[in-house]
Order: sequence, then structure tokens, then C-alpha cells
Amino acid sequence: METIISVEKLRKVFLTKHKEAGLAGSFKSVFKPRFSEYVAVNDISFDVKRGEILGFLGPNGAGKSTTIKILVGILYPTSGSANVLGYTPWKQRRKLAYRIGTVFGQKPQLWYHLPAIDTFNLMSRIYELDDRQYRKRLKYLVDLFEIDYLDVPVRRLSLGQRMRAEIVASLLHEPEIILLDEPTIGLDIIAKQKIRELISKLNREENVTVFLTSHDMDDVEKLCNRAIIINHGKIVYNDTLERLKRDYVHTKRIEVKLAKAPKTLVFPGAKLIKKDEFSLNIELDQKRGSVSDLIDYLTGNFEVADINISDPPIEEIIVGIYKK
Amino acid sequence: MAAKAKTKQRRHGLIDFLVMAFKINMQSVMEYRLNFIILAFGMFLNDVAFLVFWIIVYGKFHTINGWGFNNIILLQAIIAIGWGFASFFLGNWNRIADIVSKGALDYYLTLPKPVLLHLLVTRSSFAGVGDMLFGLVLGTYALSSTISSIPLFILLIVLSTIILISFGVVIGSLIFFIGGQGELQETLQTSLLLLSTYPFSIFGGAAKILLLIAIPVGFITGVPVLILNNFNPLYLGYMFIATAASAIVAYAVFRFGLRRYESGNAINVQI
Repeated sequence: METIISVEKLRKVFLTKHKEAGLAGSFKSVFKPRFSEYVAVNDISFDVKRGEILGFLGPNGAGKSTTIKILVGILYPTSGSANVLGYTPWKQRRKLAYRIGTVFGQKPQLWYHLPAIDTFNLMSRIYELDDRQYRKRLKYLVDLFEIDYLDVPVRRLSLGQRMRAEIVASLLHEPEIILLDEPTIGLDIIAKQKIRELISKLNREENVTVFLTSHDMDDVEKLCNRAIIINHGKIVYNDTLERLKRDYVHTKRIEVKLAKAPKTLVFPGAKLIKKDEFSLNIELDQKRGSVSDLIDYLTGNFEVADINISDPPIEEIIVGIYKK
Repeated sequence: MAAKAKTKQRRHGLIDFLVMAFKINMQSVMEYRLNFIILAFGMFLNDVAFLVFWIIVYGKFHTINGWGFNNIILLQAIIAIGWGFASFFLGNWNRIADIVSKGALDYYLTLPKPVLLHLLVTRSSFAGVGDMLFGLVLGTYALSSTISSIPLFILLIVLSTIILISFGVVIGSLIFFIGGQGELQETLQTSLLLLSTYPFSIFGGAAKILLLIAIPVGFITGVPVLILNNFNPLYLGYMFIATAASAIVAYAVFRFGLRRYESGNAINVQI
């Protein structure tokens, strides 16, 4: 498969100002400012092949967003090289922009006070799309993403609806790569699932390469073929998702809400992390017991009101990687 | 696949984009029906109140260092039309520092249009309409007896407005180099606005040089009024040179500053 993103020893250093707390600290920093270098991305190298769905994972502040911002041409790196579709992003930003799509979970492209259709029309002019081609593409995406709220001002949309429209805005020009920075941040489980399904479908139907950053292990598990884990600016894992799950992710978190006060929990591989008057927080070692058996056990022995199953937080997976 | 984007029909050019950006701005402004009318009318009243000050001053003194009331009217017309045009058509011209400090430049940097132009046209302030109307009323009054100078008046306004916007871009771009939260641009632009409404003849020596080069008030209102009073091709030549130099410096400072852009994690929305 053709390599379409290639990164070599990429490094980004920010100068960070430090100051002591309070007004006195601020006063002191005016006359004697103190700076230090913060290495956000520390000599990372990796490749992405056409058609891949790559999960770029890491805790907050690991360097995920900085990397994606360098790859789309927003930031200049301090050193190193990057090649995206044959372009150096920070030097050939505009040429690259015609061929990639970007979605930043925290930086919407949609105009807040206007319906999404107005932003889509603007995008068609920004990308200089032919009118007929644009209408056809818009219809396809609107059907695919089930956008039945084209004429509702964006401020009235739910976060999930807004994110679906954001992704449509970034796909109108048929990009070859879509880079999504935390696309599921703040969404509820149903909305997250919907976004994941759509990204996956898009990859299958159009062979769009997906580069996705997230701090949510679930995103990667449901979507990606490969995961890169970054921590403190360095890559700590770069391999298939199967290997990651086999070697490092063998626990699940199960949060149970109960209608009655809980009894004692006795189940192989289940460790009680937290117990409240009407809730249990369990960590299950999947090598010793399965999730479905645990649910059977819980529903048989407790009055369960609600259950939430999730992967362990990314920080724990990273600790596991370091331990090995 | 590589050829896919190239073969895509790109019928619409920059003009189509600018027209659509303006339409979107208008749609956004008109979402709140009364808001934009009050803004335009309020700014018109604000300008009138400012003029009253000069009416009172000139009621007591007929000239100030050789500048009569008609010169003040011309000066006010030029700055009001220029400021109004910039605010209405290039509404982000005075908000660059704020946009950069909030990391909101990311939006423009991910899209394939010239960043500075895209940034400038992505907002429209209806207060600018009030300014432009006020300027047109004053201009019509001041030039009513010398209709032949109208083409020159329009040319000078175009040049003056380019210098004004360039100044906004330069001081807005300073944030790339010195950091901050955008107050510097606000403060320097308020200074420029105030200084540009004073008779240029009251400044002398170092102040005059400062106001021609550092804060180019001289070229925004002073020199255009002198040319309108007494046409001098040399002064007009200076205006062209100052306009070209301002635009080049503004573009260069912004482009160079972009290399130092640090983005940010603040949540931004397109209003």
C-alpha cells in the first residue's frame, strides 16, 4: 500500500512562561520573566498508508493535537520533516488543503448562528467546487450522515448533530485523508457510536484514509486498524490494535448502578475499585472472567438499574506499556 | 487519486468566494433583526456627537494653525468612510490580535484560501454602515462647491483606507512576536482614530514624522486633506508610495508572524 503520510524525527518545542501564583507573582514576572522550553513533540517518526484508519492516542497534553496541527500546516515544526500526499504541510499548506479534510472537536467550522447549509455553501466556494458536483456530493453526505436539520441554526443543534455536520463540511471536497482531532469529545455513548459507524463506513465506501486522535480507547477499538500511542511527546506504541489489546488491554471497567444497597461481590477476575451506597465500580481481568458472565452474575445477584462498560483509561494502558 | 483534486472543476474563483463570504456575513448579522439597525444608527449618532465638539471649537476659533472647519469636515469624512468600509467589508481588520491569541487562526489555516484575506473578510460589522453614511454626508457637504474634486476624493479614500487596514494588520500581527491578549491592537487603533481626527497642522517636528511613519495618521487623513485643498502631484506620489509600502509591510509582518503562530486549545466558534 502507498505511504501517504510520512513523518521523520518531527519535533516541536514551545517556549513556556512561568510565574508564581498571585498578584505578587505576576508583578515579579513583568520585571523578571522566567521561560522554559516545553517539548510537545519529541522526535517522532511514523508512516500512514492509504486507506488506513489510524488511531493516534494519548492522554491530555501528550502532543496529539500538536502533531495533527503540524500535519495540516497550522504549526511549523521546530525540526524534522513531514510529507503528506507529497507536500510539506507548513510550506504547501493551500495545495494540501484541497486534498485533506480536518475536523477539530473544539474548533468548529460551522457558523454558529446560521444553519449548516450556509456553511456548506460557503465551503463549496472555498474549495471552488462545481455547482452540480457539489449538489450531488452534498445529497450523498446528507443521506449518509442522516442530516435532517440542514435549515436549523447550529446553535440549536445537539453536540452529536453538530459533529456530524462538522464532518460533512470537511468531506464536501472529497478529501483523500481526513484528520479528526478528538471528534467524539463530549459526546454521549449513542452519539459517539454513530460518529464511529459513519467514519468506518466512509473509509469502506470511499477508501478515505482516517487519522484520528483521541484519548478514548473505545474510539480506537471500534474503528482503527492500527494505533500509535504518544506520551510526553514520544511514541510509546506503534502497532496493530490486535497486539495492543492482546498485550496491554485485558481489563474492562464496569460501572453498575443499583436499586438496592450492594451485597458482597464474588466473581473470578473482578476487583472492586469503588463501592458507594447504590453503585459499584469494578475492574474485570478478562483473562480470568468474561464480561457477559459478569453481567449474568450481576443481574442474577443484584437489583441492577444501569450498567456502563468501558476500557481502562489510556493512562493505565501507557503504564502497562512502560512496565513491559 | 492524486489527479482527482486537480481535475476537479474549479469554476468558482476568488471573487465567487468573496461574494459568498460577504453574503454569509450578512446572513449572520441579520439573524438578530434589530441588532444591526441599532448598531448602524448608534454609530452614526456617535460620529455626529464627535462632530459637535469641532463645531463648538470652530465656533470660537475660525482656524487652527491654518486649518479651517471645512478641512475638519473633509478629514472626518475620509476617516469615517475608510473606517466604516474596513469594518463592514473586512470586519476582522481590527481583531487580528484577539483571533491569534485565542488560537482561532486554525480555522483559516486549514482552508485553501489566502489566510490574511480569508481572515479579514470573515466578519462584517454593521456599525461600519453608520460610519460610511456619516462620511458620505460630510463628504458631500464639504465638496458641494468643488464637484470636480470628487474623483480625487474617492482615490484618496481608497489609498487612505488601504493604509488604515495595513496599520491594523501590522499592529494585530505584533501579537505573534510579543504575545498578549489583543489589547495592544485595540489601544493603538483607538490612538490612531483619535489622532486622525485632529487638524494635521497642530503637529510639528518629531511628532509629524512619527505620525507619518510609525502611526501613519498623516497619510490616512492629513496628507489627503492637503491634496484636496491644494492639489500637489508630489504629495499624491507620496500617498501612492505610502500605500504600497504599508500594504507590503503588513503582508510581510503577517506572513512572517504566521511562522511563530502557536495555536491554542481554546474553544472557538464562527460567529
